[in-house]
Amino acid sequence: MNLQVSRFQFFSIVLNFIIYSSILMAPGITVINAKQDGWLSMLLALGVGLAANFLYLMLFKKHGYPSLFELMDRSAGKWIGTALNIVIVFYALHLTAMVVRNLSNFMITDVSPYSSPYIYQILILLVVAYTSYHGVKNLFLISELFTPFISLFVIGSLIVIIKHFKIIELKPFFYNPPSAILEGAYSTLGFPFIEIMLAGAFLTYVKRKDKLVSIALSAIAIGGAVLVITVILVIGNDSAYIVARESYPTYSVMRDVSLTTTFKRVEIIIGIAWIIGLFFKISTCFCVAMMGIKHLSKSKTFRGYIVPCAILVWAMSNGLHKTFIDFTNFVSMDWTLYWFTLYSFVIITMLIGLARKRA
Amino acid sequence: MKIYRNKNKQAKEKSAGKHLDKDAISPEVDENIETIKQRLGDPFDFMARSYSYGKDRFALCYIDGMVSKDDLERTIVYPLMDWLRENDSFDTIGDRDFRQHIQIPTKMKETTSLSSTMDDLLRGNIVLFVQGRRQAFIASDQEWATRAISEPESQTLIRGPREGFVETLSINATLIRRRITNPALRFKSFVIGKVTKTQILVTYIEGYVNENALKEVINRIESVDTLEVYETGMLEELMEEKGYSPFPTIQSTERPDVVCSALTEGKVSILMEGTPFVLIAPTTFMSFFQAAEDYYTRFDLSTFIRMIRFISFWISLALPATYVALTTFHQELIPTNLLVSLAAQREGIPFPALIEALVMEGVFEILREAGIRMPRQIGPAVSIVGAIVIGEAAVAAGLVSPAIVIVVSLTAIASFANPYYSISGSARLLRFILMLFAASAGIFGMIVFTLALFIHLVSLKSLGQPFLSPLAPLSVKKQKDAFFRFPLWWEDRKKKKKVGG
Amino acid sequence: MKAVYTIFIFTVMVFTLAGCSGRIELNDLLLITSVGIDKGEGDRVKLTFQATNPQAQAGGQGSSGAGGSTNPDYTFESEGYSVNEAVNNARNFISRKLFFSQMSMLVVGEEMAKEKGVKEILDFLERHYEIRDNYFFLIAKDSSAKEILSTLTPIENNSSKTIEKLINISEGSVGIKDGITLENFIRWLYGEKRSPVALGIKKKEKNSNVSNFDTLNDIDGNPNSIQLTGLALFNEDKQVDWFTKKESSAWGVLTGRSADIQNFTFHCPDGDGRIGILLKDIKGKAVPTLKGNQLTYRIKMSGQMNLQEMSCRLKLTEEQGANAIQTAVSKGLEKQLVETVRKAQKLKLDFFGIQSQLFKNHPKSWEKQKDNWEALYQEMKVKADVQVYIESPGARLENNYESK
Repeated sequence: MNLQVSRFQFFSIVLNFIIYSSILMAPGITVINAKQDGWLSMLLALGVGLAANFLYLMLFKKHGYPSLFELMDRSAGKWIGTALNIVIVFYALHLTAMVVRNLSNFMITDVSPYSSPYIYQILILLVVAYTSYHGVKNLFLISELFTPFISLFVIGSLIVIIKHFKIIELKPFFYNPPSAILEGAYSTLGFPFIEIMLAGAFLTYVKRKDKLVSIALSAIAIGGAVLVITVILVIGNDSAYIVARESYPTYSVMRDVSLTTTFKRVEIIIGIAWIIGLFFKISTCFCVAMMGIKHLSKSKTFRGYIVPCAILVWAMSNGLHKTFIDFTNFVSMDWTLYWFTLYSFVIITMLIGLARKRA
Repeated sequence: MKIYRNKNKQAKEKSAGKHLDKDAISPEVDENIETIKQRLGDPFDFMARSYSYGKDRFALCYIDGMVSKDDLERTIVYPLMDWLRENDSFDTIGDRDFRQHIQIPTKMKETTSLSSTMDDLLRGNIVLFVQGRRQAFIASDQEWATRAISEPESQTLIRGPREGFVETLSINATLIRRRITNPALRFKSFVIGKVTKTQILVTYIEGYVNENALKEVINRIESVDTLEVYETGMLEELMEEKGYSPFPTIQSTERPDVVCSALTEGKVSILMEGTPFVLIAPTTFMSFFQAAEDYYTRFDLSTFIRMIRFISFWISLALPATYVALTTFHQELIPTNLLVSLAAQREGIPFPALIEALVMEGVFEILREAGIRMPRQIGPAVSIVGAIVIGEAAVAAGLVSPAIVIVVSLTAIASFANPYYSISGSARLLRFILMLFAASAGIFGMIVFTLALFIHLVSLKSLGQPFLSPLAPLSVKKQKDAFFRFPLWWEDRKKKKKVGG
Repeated sequence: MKAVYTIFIFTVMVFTLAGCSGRIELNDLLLITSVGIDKGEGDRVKLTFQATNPQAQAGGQGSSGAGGSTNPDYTFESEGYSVNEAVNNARNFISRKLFFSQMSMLVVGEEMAKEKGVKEILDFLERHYEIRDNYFFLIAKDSSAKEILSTLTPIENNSSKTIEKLINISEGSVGIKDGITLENFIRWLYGEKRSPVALGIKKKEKNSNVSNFDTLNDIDGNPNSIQLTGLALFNEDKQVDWFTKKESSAWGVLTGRSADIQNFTFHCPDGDGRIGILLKDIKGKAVPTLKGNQLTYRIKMSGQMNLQEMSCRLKLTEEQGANAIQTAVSKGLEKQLVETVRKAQKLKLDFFGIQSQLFKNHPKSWEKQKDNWEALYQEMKVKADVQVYIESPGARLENNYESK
């Protein structure tokens, strides 16, 4: 595939991936464990995420930025490499299913509980399939097009909730024991920061590869900073007690904002930004899975695999977790370790590959 | 109605690809005339005048109504006769010299093919057959009745030239030539349509044009395989990307200043005999929102008005859908006072909001079409009065709520705010689909459809150039003309680089 | 091409089978503007819904207003063992879907608040997806919530609109900025260790029967009016007492929730006559400090005032006179603030967030003294220091008594 991606496009995809994964849920996840020090756990998770991705990207650079799947093949030999590629593809599809489920959960809980979740899942999967049909380049172009608008929405929403921010809700600082903060950081570490390693599959298509590592890391840093600021502002608006009990705290905070008599219902802004951002995340994961399948099957294009994989994703999103509680528990408790496994496998493989190259 | 006269015009080049007939021109003048009469089926307006002087004989053939008859005698016959009297006969003159010795003001060219002679004859040229020669001489002195140059009705503006193209190819070409007096301006002619054999001109400025685009245009024109073409709209459809996109990828305009500005940007333009609409290719989505007037008025006003155009495009696309989505799915987003009055309005209305919206939109589309086709005198009156009366009567009868009448009228007015009709046409169609999506899944459905629309736009290519540049791929330099109209003195106009698309 | 057709048909199927669910037309909704909760017999709760009557507005549209009622609102009452059950029972006789998004206040009857407490009713309201968190929480004084909601008020014709505007625009002499919302209440009750308060509302004339639209035709607006009273005081989730209006505005000043502009009236320094002021920009902090075993509540405020009424024998143009007024006002404010805190001390309840401030600002020393809270609170010393400056004397300089 003759795919050339500019650095700004790559930056925008990584940024959207990180921010919209958890901007609506991040305050809740961190505050449940760390109470009012939730922002510290977010900061900690950001730090660990940056370090982990730094290692990952440096290893990529040492290898000379091949495609992720080729890299597995090269480093670990044909059999283990293929097995690892299949695992990566499955992880990507699983993540797609989870995010789709997350989106339909949000729509059912907060927007219209009387609908069936299927309509939302199918609609979003149709659009994702459409963009994959046109190729990965299309996804990057769309991301470049939309990023200014949705970033503006997010920044606007954050500015609007500054009005009711009270710093006393964040006090006392550092009151909670470090174990609570670590627990809070643990849940949110996997949620966007380790999943972004999937974007490594796109590294090889960036046109100009100088400073690529710093661009990717700065995207992660900016995304993480936005999340930290969100957590701070949300905790300051409602207290930590309420945030821990809400399903989607950012949305709830936005609902309470009233600028003037007319602008009382501004939560639609962040709702729209979130749906579009989630669309980018779902498409990215889906495209990575498609690229993996294309590599595994050595076909020229992945168009034929789109519809069956979309149906599989739809089935997974509904069938894997029957209830909302089950889904939330799995995400907050097991997700990080689950992805950490993949991360360590990939890192070890890359190290082995380096060793073999030198040998 | 002006009589169009065309003197001293260079004979046009023939296009490649026209197959040559095997027939040759016989040295007998009368025989040629007979052959042509036969081929044309002895038409009533085919004139053949022969003149003899001694044993020399020559004949002039033309189609009555397409040449200027008074000039004929003066410019061709008298000089030839004079010359014959002086020199007694043509025999002493070689073929090549013949042309040089005829002192007629109109330029002549010669040909040995009977079929190309007939083509030129049918285009309004004068054919001169000389006894004993195997060539025919073709002079052009076209004159026919044509429309006077007036302001184009489809693209009016307040400040700017009021000249628009007419149906005659050479007048249009002249309008362009007057504005770009650069020797690098090129006109390449082609013939399209196996039956109609319509002539088109491909125009570009050598050295500024985007080479890839030019090659693509010529490829596509040559690969057009159709029997008839009457308007550039048909050519546009045949030349566009194969697919079912609702968006036009080739722009058409009636104004020469728009064409010239496009030419200096490196685009290619196509003129066609018989229609005042000229194509411009390749085009971007943003160029459908730029009116020529933007450059003739001040930059702050033009930027503001351009913003209004974008907003009105969005309104004409999404307003009915937003109304349907908000009132059926997301009532919580409407402020309380507004919600109470909307609810009050909907008391007693038998239809759900979607049906209301669809029916009113449909009625308005019918009114709009009727307003266009009606005779001039009663057209505008019926459409305006019809809209108001139908709206009022429907509200009074309790069929629709007043809010939907406002929504529909605002939508309709917004759809006229665009300088180009083709793009508002796509908004009209997409509006209905967007309404259906909004009625099934609320704002989520609207977002999904908008995403799909943008995905489609991003992948669309206009003759090989991305349709949505300069937005995607993002190019900050080219933003100067997309959403804003930066002042002219911000850019060094002397160094206008080659800009493609 | 076949693939495209299949996907198209599939999409159409999806739309017709799964789509369009969750949609409801505007004229199938009943817009609830406020909810009232009262005590029913035994263990039951009585819910009152106040809803707008769209036909009353539609009558003016001229569309299908023939024979529609002109009453702007209706109230419905429904009973049940819990709030959810009461709402469910309401669906038996209310012909439209209850739409809570436009709810602007929750009124709880005094009887319910004092005897049963509000704990059980909070969960339904929080969990409902339509209900936002920023509606006002009021306790109805000397009446039931149903009476308050059934009052047709003059000018606004709707008791929830009246209350909303009272709190936002005229702000009452109680002067609480942005009112008190249910979210604040829950946060104080469960999140911080603080006794919550709620706004109070009562009918101006206690026994008037004003549920009929015709009563609005009388020129006397008092029988139909409802007025804000002092705050309702809670211990945990049961109500115990009321603040007076003066104490409520003092509470507002202490907790930083006072309205931007407040009106106060004080006695003159020599006791004869009154001073009325418009207090702007009151700024300051009320900070508790813990030293050893002594809890001190330091109140430091400063503000600007405009003189609105003065019937004292003071010459305003002299510095002495101006100072006397300032001192009188400052001392009067101090006295009010201290009295309010004393009343809270007597009730042994902390309405000002002292506990939570100590916890947030001095967590370590608080840990040690935590169990001693009751005694500490009783022994708490209150030190108030208020300074108010005259910004403008109004449109007159001297008053009539002095210029004679």
